[in-house]
Amino acid sequence: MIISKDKIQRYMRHIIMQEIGGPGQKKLIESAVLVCGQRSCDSTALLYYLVASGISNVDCCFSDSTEFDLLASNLKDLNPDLNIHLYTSYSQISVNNHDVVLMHYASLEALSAGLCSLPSSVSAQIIIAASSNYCGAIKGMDCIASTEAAVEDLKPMFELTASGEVFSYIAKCITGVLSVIEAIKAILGIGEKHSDTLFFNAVTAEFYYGSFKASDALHLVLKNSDKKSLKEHSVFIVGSGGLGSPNAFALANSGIGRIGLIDYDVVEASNLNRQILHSVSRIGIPKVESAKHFLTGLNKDIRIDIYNDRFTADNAIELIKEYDIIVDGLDNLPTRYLLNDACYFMKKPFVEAGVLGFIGLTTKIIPDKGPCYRCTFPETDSKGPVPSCSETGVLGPLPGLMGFLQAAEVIKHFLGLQESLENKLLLVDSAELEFNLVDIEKDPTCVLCGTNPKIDKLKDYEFFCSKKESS
Amino acid sequence: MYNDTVLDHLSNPRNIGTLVNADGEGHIGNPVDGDKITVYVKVSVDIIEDIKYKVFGCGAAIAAGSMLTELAMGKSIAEAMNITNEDVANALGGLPESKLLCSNIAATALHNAIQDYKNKKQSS
Repeated sequence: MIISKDKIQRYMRHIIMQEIGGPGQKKLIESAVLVCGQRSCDSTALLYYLVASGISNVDCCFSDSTEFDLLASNLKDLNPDLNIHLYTSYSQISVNNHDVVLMHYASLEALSAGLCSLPSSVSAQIIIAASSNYCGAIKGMDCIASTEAAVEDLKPMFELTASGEVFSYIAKCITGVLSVIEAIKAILGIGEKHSDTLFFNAVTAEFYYGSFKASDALHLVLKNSDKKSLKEHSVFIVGSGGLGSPNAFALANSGIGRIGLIDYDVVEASNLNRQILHSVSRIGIPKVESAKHFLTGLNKDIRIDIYNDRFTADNAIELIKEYDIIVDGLDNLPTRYLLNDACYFMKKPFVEAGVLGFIGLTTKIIPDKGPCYRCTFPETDSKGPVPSCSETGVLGPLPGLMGFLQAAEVIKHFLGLQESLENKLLLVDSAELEFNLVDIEKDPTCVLCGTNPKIDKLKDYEFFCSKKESS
Repeated sequence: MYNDTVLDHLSNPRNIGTLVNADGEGHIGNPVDGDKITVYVKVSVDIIEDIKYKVFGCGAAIAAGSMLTELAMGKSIAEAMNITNEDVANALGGLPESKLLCSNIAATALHNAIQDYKNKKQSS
């Protein structure tokens, strides 16, 4: 066999993608990545997704590595094959022994200093992932000679003023997963390689190539009290798998007051290429218990209520009524329709996302004010290209990206920011690294929220395959 | 849930890809759960000289396509028409019950490819 049986199981969701397959996963397992940054705590999301994807040789260079030992032990529990080493200076590292170097920074000075410390000839692919407040940027660098040019176009982004810690944390999570996506593509030699810099604004959910838009300087002034106000709020996450993991991770780290989690599955090895709340030592235990264990370790002040149960027409209303906002972390269409209907009847705001292969989408649904899930994706007899079977391929860090974008929507909702994904659908192609934000409208003929509705109560929808799990 | 033969084939599928100058091309999709497979054949004097496949689906679908190409390679088209989806599952040492219906469809794609070859031959 091309890799051991247990690794085939562990990385099944990558292996069944033609672009990766067994040979590609073998390459990832054997590859070496260097992660450089200022503070290790800014790169936790990056490291969890990097290690989950199978990359097993990870060297880190951080000037501030507070609590790195705890992080490293969690990372080893997510990927027991991991060889991780922490360095405090470049002089200790053979940069050219790595396939990819990820420069993950939240300060221009630190990034410039980091780039200058790299040796003059680097054979590794260098990926810069920088964030400033609620904005971020990703770029590949083939030639180290252009260090100065590399940071030149990032300068305006670092001039952004005033934002709360809340958004800068989400922006770091997003640059982190984006850099992992780019690292995987660089190692496998797949997908589009852009010469332009990709910028994003975590508040407007806009992603664009070229130069930083001055209009992105929203002069977003978040008060210190804003983070405190998150403590007053609650979120219900349906599914604690691929999408549930990054949502819960980011929201717990952002200081949300209460998280509710429902899932009926137990942790399986094949979850671990993307479900960062879980780990090898927790295989076989209910996912919600595994998630609670992990989240409590991140933030002891948070209230976490877990439901080791299916989300059904019978319990849907009771479950969601206690929470301020609902997050979709499901992997299948039938339950998604049920969740959409339940949120509509209870008039609960609902942040939707879905992933398949390299593709992801997300939107925010406010009942009656904008389109519901059915308006945009009406039920059809044929499931078309969307498999209902649990065993579909998904690029590990992609649900991470989509889940962090969902978490940003949740935080904006609580902070009362106007910018949101209401009436908008963000489509992400992680292979091409293409982002399309399209306007969507209410469908007057919608069977749920249209002028002549046909659905007046919840029902469970049929499953076609016998086994289900959260994405 | 998969046996060793299935794991081997799905992680390192044989004959995966397309044939540029295929003599026959057969497709089958499962409308229920989205599995899709296309089989390409190169035929010389009624013998399947080369065969490749492309698949979108779960591990069982990938392994079934891989095993099918091994079973069909070098066979006459008459023999190949007799390969059933059940033969593919048996050669793999069995597939999980839940996968038999939706993912074990490769032989049907091969039959369609041979039919396509016959149609093209007739019309030329």
